[in-house]
Amino acid sequence: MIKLSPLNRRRLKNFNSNRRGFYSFWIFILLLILSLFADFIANDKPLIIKYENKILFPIFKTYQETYFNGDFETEADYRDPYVKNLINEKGWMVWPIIPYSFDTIIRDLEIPVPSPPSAKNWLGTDDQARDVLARLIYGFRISVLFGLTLTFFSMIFGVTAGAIQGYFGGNIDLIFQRFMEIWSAIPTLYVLIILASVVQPNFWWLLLILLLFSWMGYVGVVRAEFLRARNFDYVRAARALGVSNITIIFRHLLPNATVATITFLPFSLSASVTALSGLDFLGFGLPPGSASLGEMVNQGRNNLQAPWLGLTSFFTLAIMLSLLVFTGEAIRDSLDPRKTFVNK
Amino acid sequence: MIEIRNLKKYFPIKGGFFNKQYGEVKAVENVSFKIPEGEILGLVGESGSGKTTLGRSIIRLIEPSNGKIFYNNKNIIKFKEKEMRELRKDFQIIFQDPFASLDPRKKVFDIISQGLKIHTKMNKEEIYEKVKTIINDVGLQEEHLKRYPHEFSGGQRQRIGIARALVLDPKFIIADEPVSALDVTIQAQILNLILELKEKYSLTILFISHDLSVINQIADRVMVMYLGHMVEIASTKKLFSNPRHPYTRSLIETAPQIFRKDKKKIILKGDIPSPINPPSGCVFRTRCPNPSHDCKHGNIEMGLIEVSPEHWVDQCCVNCN
Repeated sequence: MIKLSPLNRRRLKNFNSNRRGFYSFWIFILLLILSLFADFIANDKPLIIKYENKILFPIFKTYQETYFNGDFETEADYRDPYVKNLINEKGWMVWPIIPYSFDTIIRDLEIPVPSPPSAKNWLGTDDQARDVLARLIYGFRISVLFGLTLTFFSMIFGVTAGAIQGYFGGNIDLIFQRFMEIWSAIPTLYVLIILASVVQPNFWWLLLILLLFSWMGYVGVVRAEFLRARNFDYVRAARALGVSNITIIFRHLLPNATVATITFLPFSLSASVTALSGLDFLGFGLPPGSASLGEMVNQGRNNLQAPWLGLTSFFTLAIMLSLLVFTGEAIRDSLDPRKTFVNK
Repeated sequence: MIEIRNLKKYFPIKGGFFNKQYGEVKAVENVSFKIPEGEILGLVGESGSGKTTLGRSIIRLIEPSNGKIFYNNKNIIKFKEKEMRELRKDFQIIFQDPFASLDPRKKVFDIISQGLKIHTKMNKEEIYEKVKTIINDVGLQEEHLKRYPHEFSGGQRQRIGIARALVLDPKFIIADEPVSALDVTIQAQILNLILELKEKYSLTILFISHDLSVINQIADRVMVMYLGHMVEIASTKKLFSNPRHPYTRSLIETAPQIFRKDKKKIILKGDIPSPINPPSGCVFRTRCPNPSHDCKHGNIEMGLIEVSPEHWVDQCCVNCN
């Protein structure tokens, strides 16, 4: 265990005593971990197959249909009754709780799509006969992973830019600030629309485009901390010792900016999730067919007669963002120096 | 060992559109002096007289605007950043506020050893041995190395600051009001410590203070500054027994004393003038108790003259008493 300083222990205590934030944080972590294992929860391949005394894991390895004495050399479609029969003759299969993946098109539906919730499809299906619950799990995962990646990279770029501006100040700061004012005036959406006409935006393209603008959120807070701290006597002392600028920035100044940065993280994460969903909703987001909450919102709007689509996506987004904001508030309050010394 | 010639530091005042410069704060103006090896030169003056700026300019923590600084006959103003970094181990600074000058997130050992890690190729054991010696020299124990700065009192923290400054065996130290944030009893301890270490490590010190009793105790020579100008410099004995500048006299006579003989004192009126727009001619004329006619109208330029061997006073005020 890492030994925490008394201040950090008090902060942790403050965070834990904020029950709403505490539970939000752990529920979010739980949902995140569950969604990371989405392939084992919702998949159109069985978890385990026993076939001719062999144990097979089709999620990790692809098997051709001919492996099970089928006709084709393509990958076995385990949902096909013919393949099911072949396997069940000489063994058995264990299916995930939800036997559909996000892109599984259900062919044996008895009602026209979008079909309402039923025992088979707990949250119904969408207008392309795909299971809503499976799409929701995968959509949650990609939203959060996208948000985390975007937050991580914006933090790195934003903190670096803020550190440089704050530490060196003067003309560097002046020019950088003017550049940012111009840069932040560029409308993200139009850049994306232009880009979408040139390339098919995928996960990394979207990340890059949103990153071009999202790093600026961090610059303000980090720059302010650096401007304040660079004139501390201990920084002067380090300079008098001949410590290099890089070392001063990392060893003496960056710790001052951590609180501001950490406070910003959950809000940055929820903003990233919202941005991705918004782009998906407008159709400029992830490629068609991807599991995405924004696309589900769009389907909900187009199919008002099927309220389970709209309601599911609405509640998923609302709950996810609320959890993030509650966590963020709790973190912010627990790091607030004015609240750090309150004994409860 | 250290010689300063015509050192100036002007801070630009900027503002408005495109940060146009519309003025200057003349913090240090034409200062020249020498500190021979092994001497403690005291530097006194009231707040805003440019003491700290001068001290920091000498070791180029602040870039001087103009002038020359000779260290062992080399002009260090011309040094590039790399050479300067190499030189840093010879120059150190002790700060006024022992609470602000130590990084609260670093343990004492890390604070003291940082210089060694940069400037020497010592291995871990050697560094630890060196830090241990130093911490004992400043009157703390080995077990203190594992603690954080907030666990210490002001006097102890100042000792840590001194240890940090001394760990690289520097030649020249700027002590920027090292005792003014401390209690009187602790002040005496720290002053004795500085004197002791000065002998042990054969240091040359520029000791900045506004407290004359401290200067009287520690300095070999004293230099008085007013509004960025040197107004008097002499040996401590001469300066205290026979101050020639009215400002020096006023500083000495108005210093609080427990057993005060009730005699006529020069009490200066008003505040130090703004260094953005200093008085023409003699900068002291606005507060001079007895200015001559020429002085009053700013006709006499600043400049030191030698009134007795090694006792220099500003030419305008030498006759003002």
